Amino acid sequence: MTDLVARGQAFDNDGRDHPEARFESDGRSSFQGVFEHLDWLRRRLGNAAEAADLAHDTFIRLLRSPQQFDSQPAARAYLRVVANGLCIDLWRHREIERAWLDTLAVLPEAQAPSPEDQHIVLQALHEIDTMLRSLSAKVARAFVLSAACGMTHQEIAYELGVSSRTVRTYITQAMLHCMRLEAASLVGESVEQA
Amino acid sequence: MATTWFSLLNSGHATPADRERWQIWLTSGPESQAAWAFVERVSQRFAPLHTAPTPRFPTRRTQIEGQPAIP
Repeated sequence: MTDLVARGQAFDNDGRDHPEARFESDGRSSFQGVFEHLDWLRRRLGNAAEAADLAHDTFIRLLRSPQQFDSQPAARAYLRVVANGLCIDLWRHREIERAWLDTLAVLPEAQAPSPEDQHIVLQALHEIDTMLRSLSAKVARAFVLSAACGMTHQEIAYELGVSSRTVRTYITQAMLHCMRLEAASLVGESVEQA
Repeated sequence: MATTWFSLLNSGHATPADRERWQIWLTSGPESQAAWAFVERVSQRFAPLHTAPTPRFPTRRTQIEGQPAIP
């Protein structure tokens, strides 16, 4: 078991200490492995600030759910997997922004939403993406076309090349998935408030 | 059940009779109301997109017509 685990568990068991203070007193060199990943992240992202943000997120994820490692390489491999997942999140984030900007670019100027509205829409798009990402592409697409675009099942069926009956199944499935996430987030909120 | 109602009411084929039956279901007890509240929470997340141009990726329709689909 490496120091990474010990640190994560210590923080978990003793929330009174500020995590940074604990790193300092216990010797922050044990987190060297994480800092080494900054270089790797920077190479993947080409941006030092974003790499630092992701390294921070990697820390937080590790502290929230301490892992057991047999060796330092195993700990590194884990961090790399977590960081890679966070990179993918960021890429998705950028992809959505690009799609949104492309949409705005072809709009006549008079129809362009205000910067405030643009921000609200982008925020909603990211939330929806997070909500639907574990669904299959067709299920997610059918749901968005219905809930966001107000298309009928027949129109969606044509768009996706499936039957209206299948569209109905997709939408029911997606809604159930989202309702479960909403319920889970409500439980999370009440736990935080307690 | 709530998901089935959501699907039907947004299908584009819901009749006034369907809406009446939905109202009856909705007022039938706290369980259906609680379930519908979740449907509304989910629907609310899409609300900002209703008045905005929706980002669209290339679709079958746009490929066929060769024009970007802008609502």
